Amino acid sequence: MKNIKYITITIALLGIVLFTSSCIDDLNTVPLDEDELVSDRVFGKDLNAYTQSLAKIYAGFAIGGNAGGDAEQDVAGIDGGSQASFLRVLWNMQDLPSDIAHCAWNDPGIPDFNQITWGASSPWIKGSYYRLYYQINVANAFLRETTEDKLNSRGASETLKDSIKIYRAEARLLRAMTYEYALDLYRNVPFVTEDSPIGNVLPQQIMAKDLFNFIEQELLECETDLPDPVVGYSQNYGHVSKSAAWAILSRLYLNAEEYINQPKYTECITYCKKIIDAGYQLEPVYADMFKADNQNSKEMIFPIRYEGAETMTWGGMTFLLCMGPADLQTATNAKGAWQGYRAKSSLIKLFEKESLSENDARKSMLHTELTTNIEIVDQSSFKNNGTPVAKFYNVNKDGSLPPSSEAYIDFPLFRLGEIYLNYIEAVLRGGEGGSRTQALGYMNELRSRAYKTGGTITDSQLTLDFVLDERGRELFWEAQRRTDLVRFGKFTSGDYLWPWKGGVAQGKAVDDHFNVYPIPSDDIGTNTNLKQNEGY
Amino acid sequence: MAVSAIAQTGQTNVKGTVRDVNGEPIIGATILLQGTTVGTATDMDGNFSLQAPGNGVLEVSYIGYKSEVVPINNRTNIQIILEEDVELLEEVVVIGYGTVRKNDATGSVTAINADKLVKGFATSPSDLLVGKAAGVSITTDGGAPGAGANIRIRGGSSMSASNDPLIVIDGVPVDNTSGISGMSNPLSTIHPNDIATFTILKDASATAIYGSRASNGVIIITTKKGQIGKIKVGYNGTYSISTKIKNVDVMDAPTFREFVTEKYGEGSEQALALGNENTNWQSQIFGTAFSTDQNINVSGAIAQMPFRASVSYTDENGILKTSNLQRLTGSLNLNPKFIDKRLDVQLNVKGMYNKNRFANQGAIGMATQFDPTQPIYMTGSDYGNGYFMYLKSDGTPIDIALTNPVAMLNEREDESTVYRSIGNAQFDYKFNFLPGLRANLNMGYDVSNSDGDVIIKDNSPMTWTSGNFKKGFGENTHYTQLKRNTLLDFYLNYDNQFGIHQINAMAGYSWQHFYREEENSYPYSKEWARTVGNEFYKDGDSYSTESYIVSFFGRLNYTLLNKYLLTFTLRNDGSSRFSPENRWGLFPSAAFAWKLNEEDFLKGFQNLSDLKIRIGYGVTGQQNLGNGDYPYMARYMYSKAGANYFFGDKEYSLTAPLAYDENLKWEETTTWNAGIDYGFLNNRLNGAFDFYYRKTNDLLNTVSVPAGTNFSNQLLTNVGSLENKGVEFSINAIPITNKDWNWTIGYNISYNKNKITKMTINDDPNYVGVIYGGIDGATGYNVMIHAVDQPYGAFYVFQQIYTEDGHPIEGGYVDQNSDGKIDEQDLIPYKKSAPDVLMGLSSSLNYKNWDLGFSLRASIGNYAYNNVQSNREAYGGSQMYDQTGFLKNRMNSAFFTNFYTSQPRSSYYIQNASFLKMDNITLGYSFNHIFNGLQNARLYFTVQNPFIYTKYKGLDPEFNGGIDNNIYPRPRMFLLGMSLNF
Repeated sequence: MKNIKYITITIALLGIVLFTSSCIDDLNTVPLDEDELVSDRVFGKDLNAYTQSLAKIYAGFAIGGNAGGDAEQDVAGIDGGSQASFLRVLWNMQDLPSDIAHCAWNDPGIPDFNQITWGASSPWIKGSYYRLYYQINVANAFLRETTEDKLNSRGASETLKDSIKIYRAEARLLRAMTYEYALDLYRNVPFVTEDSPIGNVLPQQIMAKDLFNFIEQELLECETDLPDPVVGYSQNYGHVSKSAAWAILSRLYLNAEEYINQPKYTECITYCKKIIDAGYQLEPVYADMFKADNQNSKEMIFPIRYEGAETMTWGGMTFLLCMGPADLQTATNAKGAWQGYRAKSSLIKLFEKESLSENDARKSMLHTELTTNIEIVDQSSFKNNGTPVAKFYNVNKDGSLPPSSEAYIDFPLFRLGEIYLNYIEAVLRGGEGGSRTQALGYMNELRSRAYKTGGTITDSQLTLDFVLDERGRELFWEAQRRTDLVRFGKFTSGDYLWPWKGGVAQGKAVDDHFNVYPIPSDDIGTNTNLKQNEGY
Repeated sequence: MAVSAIAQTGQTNVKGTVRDVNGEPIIGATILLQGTTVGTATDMDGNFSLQAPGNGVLEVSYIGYKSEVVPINNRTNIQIILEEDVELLEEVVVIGYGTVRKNDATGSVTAINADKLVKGFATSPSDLLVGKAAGVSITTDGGAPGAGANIRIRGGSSMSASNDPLIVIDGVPVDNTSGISGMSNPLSTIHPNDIATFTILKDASATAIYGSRASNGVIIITTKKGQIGKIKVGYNGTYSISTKIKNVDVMDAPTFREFVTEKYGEGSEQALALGNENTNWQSQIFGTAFSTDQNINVSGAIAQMPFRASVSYTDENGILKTSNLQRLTGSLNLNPKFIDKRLDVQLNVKGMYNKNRFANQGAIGMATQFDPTQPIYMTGSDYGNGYFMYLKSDGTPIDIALTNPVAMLNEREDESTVYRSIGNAQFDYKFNFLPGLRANLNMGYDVSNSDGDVIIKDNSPMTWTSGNFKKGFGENTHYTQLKRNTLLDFYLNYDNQFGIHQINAMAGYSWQHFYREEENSYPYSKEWARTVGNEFYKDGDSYSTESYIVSFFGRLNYTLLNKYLLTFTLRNDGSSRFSPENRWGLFPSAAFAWKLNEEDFLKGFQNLSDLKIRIGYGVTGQQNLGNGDYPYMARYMYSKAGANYFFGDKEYSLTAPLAYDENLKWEETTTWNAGIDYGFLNNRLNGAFDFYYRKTNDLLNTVSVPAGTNFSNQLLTNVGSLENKGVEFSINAIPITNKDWNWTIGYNISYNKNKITKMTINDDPNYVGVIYGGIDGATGYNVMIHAVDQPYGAFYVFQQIYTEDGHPIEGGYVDQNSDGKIDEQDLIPYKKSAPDVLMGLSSSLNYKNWDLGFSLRASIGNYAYNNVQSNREAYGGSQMYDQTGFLKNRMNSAFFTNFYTSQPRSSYYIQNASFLKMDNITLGYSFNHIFNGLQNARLYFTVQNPFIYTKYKGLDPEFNGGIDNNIYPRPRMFLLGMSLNF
């Protein structure tokens, strides 16, 4: 009997051991949900997965997260619909601290933008910085997953590899473009590529000169693999092409003297010409460039696309539509009217410098008839303090409406109008390869498009100061102004004052260190390799 | 024996003495002549005397002793011996994987018998425990029916991971990773009447046996079981009325009119926006509510198998109109024994069916902001379904306007149906060949299925002012959730006494699986679906996830001479949430206790019944990190509806890489505890004193990671440490007990101090801490902070400067760094939301058949940010008047404060929320032996929340999270109850 007892006990114990060891294996779980995957399940032989990963980089410029309405936000701890929306925060950082716009809201960081009094702890600066790095990180991740070795190990076909080659060039271009914005806003930033080690290694800080060289080199290298430019709409619309590379280069070179103290105006002209020679044309009616069906425009070089509820965000184009007055909400087919932003009187004066400015279609976007005072007396009051602006209209060229009041207007990140102005300025600053006559021609083309009648200028009127003013008149409300003012040395100096510059109603000079934004205090604290920009 | 002729019905004087087993007289023992109200008590020598018939029967009782029934049998002098009631003194307490005698417990354990609690209105077990145990703080989320409760034991040991204790119901640990959709308080699956005991394990030497889920303490709940004996039937019913206690002090229509015209002038735009009505919005959304709770239970034994079954029905209405909870619960316990009673089988099943209607709590905040000069209804507009709405001059709705609070309640249906069942089968087998060896197998499950809809009527005011579309169609959501949790526990237990040594050893294995799946869909209303031609207005989403815990554990108890006790426990926990390198954690604990009252030098003290010194040490973990079940894996997420990109005409969804930390591991807390358990006069006076120190390491914190190193700028990773120190004292006393009177008091007080000691990888002087706590009325401003060398949950504000008569100076703040400007650098950590001291007092007084009981509770040292006030005072800019044409009501304190621009981050709004509160007072009357079937009946009247004393200026100082905003007020309830026992 005892034997049987001991045998039974032994068998029972063995059974328990086998049972428990199989249960221990239960601890190796993988995500159940089909929408949550580990990387070896995401990437395989199918092109779609790679396109979707590439699309994430593009989408990061348009919307704030991985679900509609900026939910599942990309940048943690910052509102995906405002401070971490690429377009919205860029716009606030470029057009508010300038002679263009002013915002009545008291949200943290906004008054500092109005007045050029910001510091390293501004949530907007933090949002902008981390949004740029989110884009860089996702681009790096894509490049890591699409190396020759990785593709071969997955058994990728030659056709797949060919498509991926183009995708890789696109990712590199988008990354270079992001670094160009970082260079423009912050100058000396942490540097990571797909070859940087992942994990606990702190990135090194790259100085402006080296960053400039990197961006230039990347753009020149990936240019060859990018598709040729197609003017107007095509089934590739939304992807970058060679012209996007040229456009970024033209901007990079135009500002080279400011970034690295080396004039590169000749190179700027070279790339402006390449774009112009590709066949782009100005949109015949200025306002049409900013309407819901502007994807058909021949002036569009590279857009940030918005397609209604499918690309739903509270930042981006939604912000550009809704930030204005309730009076214009129906006309612009906006889904809200938040009443915060208006033009400073300095923008009105930019137009009124010109005789016959009442013929300028661009000036008619400043609705002086909706305000009793173009001056901003009470900074936090919206009505009758400054001029409401409506530039973006969520309607089609022919007046018909898009499917809803969600934003359908694509934001023209690069358009021919800017390229013309780059060319003109580069020529005036002594770049070679172009001519004054050609420059004057382009200037008059721009102005004739804007003016109902007249508007052309003579050669003697074509000065650098005139170019700065015209850039303001042409590119206002398009997130460009601060860069231009900095390049002309007028951003911080007392030469050019506008309302509330420096915190006083008539404006005053501010310290030069404000020409560059500070690296957010969060990253200075975390990455001991970084040295803060001077003055902060 | 002198046989006098004593007539059968005659009375004689019967005398006697009552002694204990040692021959000592028992003073104050009760002698009752059975079947009558004739009785007496023993005197200083234990003697008694009373008039009784010779054939009468005496019932002799004394607390702490077994009652005796003594027939007189014509005796005139009766000597009675009472035996100590071992059950009471050697109360058995349920601990993890076993039981222990209360006397032998080496850890800090509080055992509560649910029936002895002074009860008020209780929908859920958590309501019963409020204020009853030292160191345990329970804060309900407000007065909504079935509102959830925040339970904290000794202050909580984490910052971003869960601070909830582990709750074990009849041996099945309940999943506390995520709540149950559609049900605010998952604990309310169990009807409070079905609970037998609560055991609260507080220090690590008691909780470490639960390993990686034990850092915040453990609450073990056991439900009532049947007893062998006659079948008993019980009924409990309550009927109650709830009323609102007070209103937020906002301006009424005449005062508001006066305020607006005074500030802006008669013909101003602001004054012209005023209406002509006089509406008290708060009165419109609140009302008196009626509720009832009915419970029937049957217990006894069928063919030697004890069983207990109960059914209850609750219908609770809330004071916020449209809030309602209906619940049907049932439970069945079977406890058969087989094989010579060596195989003890316990089968427990509890089921619940719950229907909720959640009222729109946003209406509460809205009612205190909506313009009192406007009407509730309006006619003549196509918009708003007849409710008043703000319209533009062209008659279309103003989309950023405030929403009509009455419409918010009436036009929204947020209803859910939840089915839940918790059950287990436990087999306990005592081996034959080796006495003292016992095997226990427990298999349990916890399943819930929820279904809910949030439906907003088309064209109601909300559809024009909120949501993603603001187009007039009701944005409806349909959600479902299924949760399944299964458990298998097995352990062997060996118990034996070798001479002066007593050994108890236990070794076991546990496996638990948690599974959850959820789905959301967004249908148009039927009418819109017909118009638009689409069933859904945006794509739905679904998610499923699971995790496993596998553990090995053991415990060794060694007792020497019944005086010196040693306990060791060890648990090896493996969780599927961490990478294979970090998966397994070892959680040891050790405790030593010394029963001083058993020592010779103290044995003589008759009055000392218990004196035990305890020291314990243990390490516990927290694996409930709040970031999903796969946080360490590199994963990609497909985008959801509304996030896509287009190339040409083709739409692509997005694939995003998620930030992850592959080195993520659980938080680890080390606890030191020293305590004394004491008892005097046969434990008529007893209690405990504890001192503890807890340190949590590898504290999870979301820290900024260097830009460029991961897929997010912030990462949840183990970086910090936190410590908690505290003292607890509790005393239970029965000051008076005799034939007519009995008075029991319980008092507990605890003090806890916590401090965050580390938060980042490097010590960065510029790192201020984790700033959180968004507030209403200022996007982007946060008023709370976790900072190093501060308690967690401190407020983060500017320090306000006041005039001599106490008015705050607008914008006048202390310039902390003296740099001449007031900016982010001048914000300071200020006060905190957690209390320093918590106290509870419950008293139960019985006089003959009457009983009077109450529960009192105090919280001292907790502060609150009064967001209701901070968002309703300023009158300038767009604070009170929005330029699209509507006004927002202000509080009456706006006259005193007089801010033009709102100052949300001022210390002026951090107010002392300490309070002294009476939770309930009950007066009851018991009827004994009404008729043969009815053993006893009790009728009682309770007032819940009779009064609260506090200096806090807001509505209710008791809420979770530190920011007072929109709390559902707790009602005052008047309850009539009846319980019958057959």
